[in-house]
Amino acid sequence: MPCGEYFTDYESRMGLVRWRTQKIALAVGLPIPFIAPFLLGGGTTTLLTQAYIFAIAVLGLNVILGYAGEIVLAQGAFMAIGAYSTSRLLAVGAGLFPALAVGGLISALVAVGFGLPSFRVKGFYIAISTLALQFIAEEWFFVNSQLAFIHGGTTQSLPSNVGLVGSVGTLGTTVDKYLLALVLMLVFAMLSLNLSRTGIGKTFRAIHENDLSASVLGVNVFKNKLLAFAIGGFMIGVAGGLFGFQIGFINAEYFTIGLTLEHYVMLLFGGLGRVWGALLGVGVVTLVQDYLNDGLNFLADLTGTNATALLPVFFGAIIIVVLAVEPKGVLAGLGKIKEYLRTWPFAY
Amino acid sequence: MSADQGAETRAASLRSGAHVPPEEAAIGCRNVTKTFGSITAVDDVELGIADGEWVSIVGPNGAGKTTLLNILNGFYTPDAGSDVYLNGEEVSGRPEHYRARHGLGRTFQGLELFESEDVLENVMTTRAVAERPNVLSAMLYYGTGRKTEAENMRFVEEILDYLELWEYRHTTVSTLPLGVQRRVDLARSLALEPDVLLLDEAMSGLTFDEKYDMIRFLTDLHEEEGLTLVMIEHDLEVVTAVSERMIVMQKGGVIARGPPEAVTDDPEVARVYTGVE
Repeated sequence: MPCGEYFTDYESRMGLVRWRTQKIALAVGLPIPFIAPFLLGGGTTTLLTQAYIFAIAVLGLNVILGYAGEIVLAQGAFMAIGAYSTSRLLAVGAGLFPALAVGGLISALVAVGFGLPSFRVKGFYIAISTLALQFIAEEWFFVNSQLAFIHGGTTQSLPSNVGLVGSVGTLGTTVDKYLLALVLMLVFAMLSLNLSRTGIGKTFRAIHENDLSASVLGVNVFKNKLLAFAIGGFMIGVAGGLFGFQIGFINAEYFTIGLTLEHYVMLLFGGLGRVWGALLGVGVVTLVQDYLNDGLNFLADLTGTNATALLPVFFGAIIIVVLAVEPKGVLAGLGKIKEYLRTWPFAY
Repeated sequence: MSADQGAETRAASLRSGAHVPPEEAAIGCRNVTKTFGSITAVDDVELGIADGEWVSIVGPNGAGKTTLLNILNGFYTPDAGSDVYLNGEEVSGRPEHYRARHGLGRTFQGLELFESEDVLENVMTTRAVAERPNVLSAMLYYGTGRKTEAENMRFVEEILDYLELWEYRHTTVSTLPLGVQRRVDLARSLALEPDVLLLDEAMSGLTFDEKYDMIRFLTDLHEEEGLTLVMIEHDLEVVTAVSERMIVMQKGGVIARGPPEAVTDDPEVARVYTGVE
């Protein structure tokens, strides 16, 4: 910590941006992503937009898994619910914000519904319950044409130009979508940070750490688990809606168990329960995955094989390496290095 | 009255025991029985602990002390017909988190701390249960969300100062010595501002100095804050030194209760403890 800075009240001490260096970094760093799309090519802008959207979904997963410790394996299903709901509302001209909000709420309701067994069971059983949801969504609900009156069809095209509310404030270009995803990602990251530093996040973590102890100390464990499901489910649903809007087309095969695992890799890579860890994980995994994909495509062209099918190996390798080297994620590892450098050469 | 009759009357008084009616007690129970299959862990116990009293529950291992504590704080559901009272309210059907929010604190024999968190976070977490903003103001960190957190932090810092935990505030609890961990456990339960504190072997495994410190803190809390203390403890020297009343359990039932000096003189209690007839 820099010498000479101190706090005279608790509110300042609990601030997110406390030190002078942090304030300078924020002032310098924050405008960069807003300028970026005007300097980068369309392909990179689209990739970053997708990274921001996935960041929202991973932040939602972080609330349920990282904070409250509930293993949910229905990330793809929650995103699908958000995407299809958003698509239906955009089709009737509701506008993007109402559509995203309703998509998020429906996803939150379904998440709460599948969180209800947590009244009796935890851990493995909740994982299985949500895995069932994933397969119901992936293998039956969204591919069932007889249920098109509910979801609107397995494949749907979304309007390319939509208003933010109704027809007001039309968005449609790649840059518009980029900026919208960036702003929403920053908002959800801020909300997650606030959740983490206030009583709600602390009670979630108490449940994660020791639910027996938490309940004896006054935490209504069941109610708080459902609250975590609702908050996380909402964020993942909104991310699903944004994802559909960004690519302009949705298909049930986008929202598979593979997507769920991809988001797990991102969260585990950065660090469970850490907002900055989730963002770091999404950023690194998305970019490396993109470069790797290019490399595998090149290899496929060169050898005439389907080398891109090897991509999932990359996720498996990341999980193994991170869990073996630093189970708390890369951010925790970076924290250790920072602490070592801060106290060097008198670390003892 | 002959000497034998006097002894019998005294013994009978210790068995039935003068105590506050459970309905009027800070914490109490009536007809409490708990069976696990064919084993009766607590057998028809009646208890009434007055507001501001310091009572110790003693007895050999397996006597039912911790089970009774778990029933009082709602962690175990007793058999049908059992009644538990907290500050005059019948709380038999209420879950443990309700009782905790209505003035019942508890420490654990096995500690049950949030092990990967530091001392400050452990106590802040419990404080968050007592004083917590609504979801919206918390997520926006605005209004009550911001104010409540700052007030909670101030309150927790006072507890840490009081229990001399200041130097450990940013230390992960799992790395602390047992004596300090027991103080963290106490700090955590105090963050709820309880009226009644149940202490489950809070001095177990402590060194002489650590026990001395713990007794000092508890005595201060009892005398200065008027905290009602119910303590399970094996160390009879500690029990007789600090308690105003003592309850002896054996095989799930209460076999004696009363002032420590009277209870420790009781031949039945001596027999239970020493095994000598």
